[in-house]
Amino acid sequence: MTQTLAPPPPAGAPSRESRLRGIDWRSYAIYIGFAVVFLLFAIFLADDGFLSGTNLLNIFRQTAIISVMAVAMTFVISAAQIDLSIGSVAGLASVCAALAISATGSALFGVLAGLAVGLVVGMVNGSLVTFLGMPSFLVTLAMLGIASGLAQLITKSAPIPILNDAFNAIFGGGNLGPIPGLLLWTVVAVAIGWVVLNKTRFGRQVLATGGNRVAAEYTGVNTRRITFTVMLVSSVVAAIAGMLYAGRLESGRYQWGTGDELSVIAAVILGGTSLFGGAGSVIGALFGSLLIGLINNGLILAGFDNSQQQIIRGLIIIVAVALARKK
Amino acid sequence: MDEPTASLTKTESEALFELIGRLKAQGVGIVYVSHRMEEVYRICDRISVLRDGGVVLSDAVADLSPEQIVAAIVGREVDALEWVERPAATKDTTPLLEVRNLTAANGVTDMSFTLHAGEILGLAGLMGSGRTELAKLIFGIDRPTSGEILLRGEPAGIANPRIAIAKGIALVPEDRRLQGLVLDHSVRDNLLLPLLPGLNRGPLIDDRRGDGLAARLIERLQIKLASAKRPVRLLSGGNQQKVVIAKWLGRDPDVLILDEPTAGVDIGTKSEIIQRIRELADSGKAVIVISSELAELLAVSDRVLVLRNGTFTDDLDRRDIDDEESLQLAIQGVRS
Repeated sequence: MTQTLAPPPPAGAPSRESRLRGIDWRSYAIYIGFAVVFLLFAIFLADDGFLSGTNLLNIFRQTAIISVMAVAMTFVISAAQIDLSIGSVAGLASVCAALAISATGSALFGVLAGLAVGLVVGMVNGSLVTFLGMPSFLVTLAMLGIASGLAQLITKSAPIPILNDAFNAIFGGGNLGPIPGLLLWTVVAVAIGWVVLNKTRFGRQVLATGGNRVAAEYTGVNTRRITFTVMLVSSVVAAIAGMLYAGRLESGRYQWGTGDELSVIAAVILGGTSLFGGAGSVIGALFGSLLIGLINNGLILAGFDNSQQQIIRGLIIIVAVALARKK
Repeated sequence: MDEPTASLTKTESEALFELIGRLKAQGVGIVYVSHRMEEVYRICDRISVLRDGGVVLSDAVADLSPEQIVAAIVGREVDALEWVERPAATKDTTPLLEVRNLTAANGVTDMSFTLHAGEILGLAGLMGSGRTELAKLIFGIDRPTSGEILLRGEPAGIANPRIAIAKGIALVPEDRRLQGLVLDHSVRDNLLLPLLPGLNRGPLIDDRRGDGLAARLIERLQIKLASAKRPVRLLSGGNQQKVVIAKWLGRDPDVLILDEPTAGVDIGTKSEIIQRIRELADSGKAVIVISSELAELLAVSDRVLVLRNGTFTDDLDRRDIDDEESLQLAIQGVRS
């Protein structure tokens, strides 16, 4: 008999366990890592202005767009898929929004054009993955090239300025009192993502699909619809991120978002979402994104040059993931 | 060795036993974990029976009868594998499930049968004879190329498992680890997955009601666990199987199909599962049991359909089957 009856829990454990909802320590690794890095920087970089309000707000602002995309990527990876096309979809959406605004003068048409890019790309990605059964890794790798190429083609690789103040204020440029608009976008995205993943039927079905697609299907989950939906949402959110770049930089350009997919995936995995699907943490992804921003910021303040920053950043990510995976 | 023969064929097992014999002769000590009694008698000198984390029996195998060992494993005398004749289901009403001339690409060829409320139908046959394939058609995993499935006399229109579930059909699949459970998810989440549609309060899931529902299902099937919030993979095979059965009982299905429900399950749990199947039928459900273990099939079925090469070769009333041997002959296609 492979009777692996779990040992009875020690006295007092059940109540604590139910309070923690059965989460094991590994899922806290990101918060511990974040706190440790923050403290180190606070101690060693205090004289360089690390702890100043402006600097901390800057970290939030600089990571906001990555954080927004990381929320959608948490769903994608939880469903055991991947989306490599988000960075170039953001670029294409920024370009299309800018072109629509310069052609019509209307912020609304700009937003619609940007969202349309996300919807179209998302439906293509989702259809190829769900109905043709192609691996999302390959589909979105191809889409990365297509979207980036398209964005260059329709703009002849030139930036398209956006002169619409309303658009620029809503997407990333403006503030609400002392709070940067980008911070609000982050908070809204994280809040919606957390509720949907943890408190709705859709979220549970995403996790079940990623955990064991066959068992989910045998239990009545429409795993194709789930997969299609997460791919679609990922692209739409990438398009919104592209418009955030466009608003903040007051222009659309194919380069906005280039390479973001790697930061976003790193943030999600750092946050404790399983690369194999079945488990995901939206709050973790936010902190993963913030941790990356924190490291970037600290390394710049410490005076490392770009090549040194890249090496140290890579090492820190490896250590963090190794710690998070340790049983 | 921990259940070394679980995925071996008969010949491979023989080779393994020979190897064990040689190792023993060389003076190698072997701890052999198994739930198969015949293997224990074949190769073991001494046996220790473990239950609920403690040793309950340790003695020379030669000094023990199989009944003594089983009693030690279960903790009480078992007679679950004895057939209990149940009152015959009323056959004059419309059958709950009717399959007409079902044919499909997965090998099922021209199968027809009826199943009434309160009836337990056994499907006997070798692996690949079409038992599992038939279950997949009824549950909507595979689609038939021709033929009909009727529920309560109406065409069921089962295009996928979601429709089958909505119409009151449930399948406890052959491979619980692959098809039945999300192993890394908690027992609770696994139990609630088919119940999510009914757990909404507004757009959100009512977690408190979910916890209560899960607790009741765990209680009902007496699933042994440390906490419902811990991953289902930490449970024993028998308790995992109970989770798969429990998640469907939560939906109160009218037709329950169980494919090898006691494979890799300890004897105590096996008798509990058989008892549950009987209770379900007694309460008016229709049950289909697929099993390679003939003793179990004979213990639980009211009627046994024998399959070979994707089609039915016999439709036997349980009362007309004398013993395992005669059923085995029917499965092999040898006429006595």
